[in-house]
Amino acid sequence: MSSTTTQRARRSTNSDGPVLRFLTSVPALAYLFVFMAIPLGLIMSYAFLTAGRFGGVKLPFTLENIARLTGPIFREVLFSSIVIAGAATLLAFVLGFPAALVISRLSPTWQTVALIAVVLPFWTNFLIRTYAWIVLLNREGLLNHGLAKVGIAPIDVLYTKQAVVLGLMYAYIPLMVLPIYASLQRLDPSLLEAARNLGAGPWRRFRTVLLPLTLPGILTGALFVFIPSLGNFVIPELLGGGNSQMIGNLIRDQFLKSRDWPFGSALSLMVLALLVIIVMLQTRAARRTREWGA
Amino acid sequence: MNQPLVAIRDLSRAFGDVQALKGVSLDIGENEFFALLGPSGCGKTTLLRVLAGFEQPDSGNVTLDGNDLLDVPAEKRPVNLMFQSYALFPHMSVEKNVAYGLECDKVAKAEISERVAGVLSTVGLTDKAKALPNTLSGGQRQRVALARAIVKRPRLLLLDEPLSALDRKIRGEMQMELKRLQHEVGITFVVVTHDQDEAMSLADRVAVMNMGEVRQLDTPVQLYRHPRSVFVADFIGTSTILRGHADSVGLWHTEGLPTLKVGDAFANAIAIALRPEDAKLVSRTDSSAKLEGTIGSVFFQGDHALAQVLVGDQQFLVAIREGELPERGGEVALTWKDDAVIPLTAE
Amino acid sequence: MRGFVRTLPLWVLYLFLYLPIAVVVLMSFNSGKNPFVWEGFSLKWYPELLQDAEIMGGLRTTLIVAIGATIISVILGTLLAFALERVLPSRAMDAAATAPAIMPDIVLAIGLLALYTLVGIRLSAVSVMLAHAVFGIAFVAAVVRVRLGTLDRSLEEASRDLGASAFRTLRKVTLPSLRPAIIAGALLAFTLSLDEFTVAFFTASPSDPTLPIVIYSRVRFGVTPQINALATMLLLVSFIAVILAQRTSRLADSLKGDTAA
Repeated sequence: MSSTTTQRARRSTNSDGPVLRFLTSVPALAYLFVFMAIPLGLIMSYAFLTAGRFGGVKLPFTLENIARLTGPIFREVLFSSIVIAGAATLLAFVLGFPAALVISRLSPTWQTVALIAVVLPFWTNFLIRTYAWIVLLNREGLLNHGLAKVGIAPIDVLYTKQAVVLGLMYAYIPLMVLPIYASLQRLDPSLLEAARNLGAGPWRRFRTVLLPLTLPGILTGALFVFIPSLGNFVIPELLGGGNSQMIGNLIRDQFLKSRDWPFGSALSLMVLALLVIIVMLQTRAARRTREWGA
Repeated sequence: MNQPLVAIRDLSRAFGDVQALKGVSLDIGENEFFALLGPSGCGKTTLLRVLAGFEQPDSGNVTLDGNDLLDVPAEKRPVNLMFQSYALFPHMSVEKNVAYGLECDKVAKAEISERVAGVLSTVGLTDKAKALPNTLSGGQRQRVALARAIVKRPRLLLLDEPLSALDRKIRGEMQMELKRLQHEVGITFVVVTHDQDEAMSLADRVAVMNMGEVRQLDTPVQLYRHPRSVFVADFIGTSTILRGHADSVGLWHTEGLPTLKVGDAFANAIAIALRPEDAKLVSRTDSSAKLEGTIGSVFFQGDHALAQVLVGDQQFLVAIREGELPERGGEVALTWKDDAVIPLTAE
Repeated sequence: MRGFVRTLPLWVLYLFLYLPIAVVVLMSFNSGKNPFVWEGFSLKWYPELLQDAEIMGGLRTTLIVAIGATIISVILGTLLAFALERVLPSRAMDAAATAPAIMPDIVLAIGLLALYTLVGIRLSAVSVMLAHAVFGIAFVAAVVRVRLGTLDRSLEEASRDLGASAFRTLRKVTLPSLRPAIIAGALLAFTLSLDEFTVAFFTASPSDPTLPIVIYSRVRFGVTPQINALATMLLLVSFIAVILAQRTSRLADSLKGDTAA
């Protein structure tokens, strides 16, 4: 496919004039520059400025905000955020990978249906979806009602770290399934048959063939779950009560409550740094997979 | 033969409306180079996959060394498969690919290195041990696939269209390689192919399949010289096929042609076959001339040419090995030795 | 039976995904006030929604934002798709076009707040609209691009060969073929904007919130049957939009990373 694309691109640059080139590429890029690149740049620079009296920023430049990131209170929050987001990502993988595997083995028409069914919840308001879990997990909620019928005492799942992990995983799991599915599609099925023929049982086939060859897709999925989880403040708030402060909550507080924009920006910088790290890992895995010709 | 290595009995398998295997039965002997030959859709690949354990038949059974094979799960069968696409693990070196099966069997590390080194030297790839598959040529990749299967010393080695992906020149080399290897390691090989050249040149015995059935099981020479059905006569090599019947006095009747002399063996034949190399062009005045016809197209094939000769509505194929190539429209006569004609008793 | 066991992980996933949604929808028809106990079927919460001024206000604002963002996204996103696929393909532009999808939405949200504050733009429905268009452009561009890549170029070449100008060809041949993809992209951008919370939260005016923001403030105080009904309505709208998008453009094919749609 990519070779046809380059062929087409080569042919087109002759027939379309420079005016067309300008008209097509500039407006969208300009828009993205103004409304995405500049805001990003602002945040990155605010991290190094000082907080203004009523919000906003002012000079002088300082590294104080970055320094605060290494302080004990924040380290605590950072650690707990990474653990919670990491747990959500891991659970999303554990549920999502087998599901993606099943989908990849369906007939093409059913694959389409299955994929849409996975993606559909994602296109709804995630507040509502989070809210639905409140309904389910509440002390008087459905889960406890059901348990009561069987004679088990009500569990207090709501307002715990576990509920937050569950809520985050629920919000983003479709984004774990899709890239893994895409990776599985590109996998040569005869490789798994060959492994089986050579004597490999299901676990060994997963460990030695499936996992290494779908790693780029897995990492993309991890990216799409881990990073948004870190930056989410609604789910920790609604499902975690006061118990779980995550980076997302902190950032939101800095901007809307404490009005310490520079610190909030520094926190965002931290999230962006983690994003960059994972993207780099993913790019490296993808490049290696291409080199194998897989 | 005494106790066959593999005994296949009444194997049937349907996919939806399509009957891929219809009660197939055959024996494969120890140390044999066996071929399953047939056009696509004939069931040979299904049979292969049943032997490998990737498909279960609807009915019938298969024994290996006298033991039931179908109950054994695919990963535990002493049967190894060389895939048409080779299916080499792209993320593992040649060494690791070859060692894979031994690791699954939990063989000791020291023994693994020894056996891997041994088999790599057998296929001549010792210097590529650490290379990745996508750096190898087609022929090299095939040898790795072979090595990977052989190193486990299976009772049966199945090869799915082993030569189809190779260039013509390499194909010839690989053919000899495969023959040599089979003798050297002493494993029973079963080749599945649609290419009769492959089957005929490699195998000790060939099972010709069509539409889920084995039409004829014989040595290559027998298949070529004594096909028993129209299908086999047509599929193996080229021939002119004349449908008709024999009468009580040893004459063959085909509509549109004069009667031809054949022997008594033709009583049950529904058609006769004549190989192009057994037919000869002579002048119409020659005493041995049996039929008169006109030359149609002539196909030059290098060491011989094939000439179409039209006799009435019937087209004959004649091989010409020496002399001038005839011209289109030329008026000629055909002749052949009486005993060169082959009786075909089935479709 | 064996087939069912094999597909079990998928069913578990679906159960997990849809159970909460099913519960919310179910409870929206609950006649009792207690959102946790079923007391009988009733449709009464739905008309009550219409009486709620705050919710209706939020709905109005959300629609304005969504429609505006969709228009911007469709125009600029289609242009971007052309630029990426035909005019000036480059790695850098590819990265720029996919960045909005990877960018954590809270970072974008605060960044835009910073920008608006710096330049002095007042927060309102428009400020949210401009923000949502950032995601919208990326999505429309992605969807249209896939379709563009599979178009048969010889149709356009035939048009040129018959004498049509580049512009005419664009209008009469290319754009009509792209229509399904553009519609699908528009539906996706619309749905995205409809449901988007985080960025809206930071860029909306306090006196003119979008619907998700209204829901957020309500939910913080607890679960109410009206919210169930509202949630069900929103779910319905989103579901319909995505399914329509799929019907018009075989969306899933781009999800599958298709080579030949």
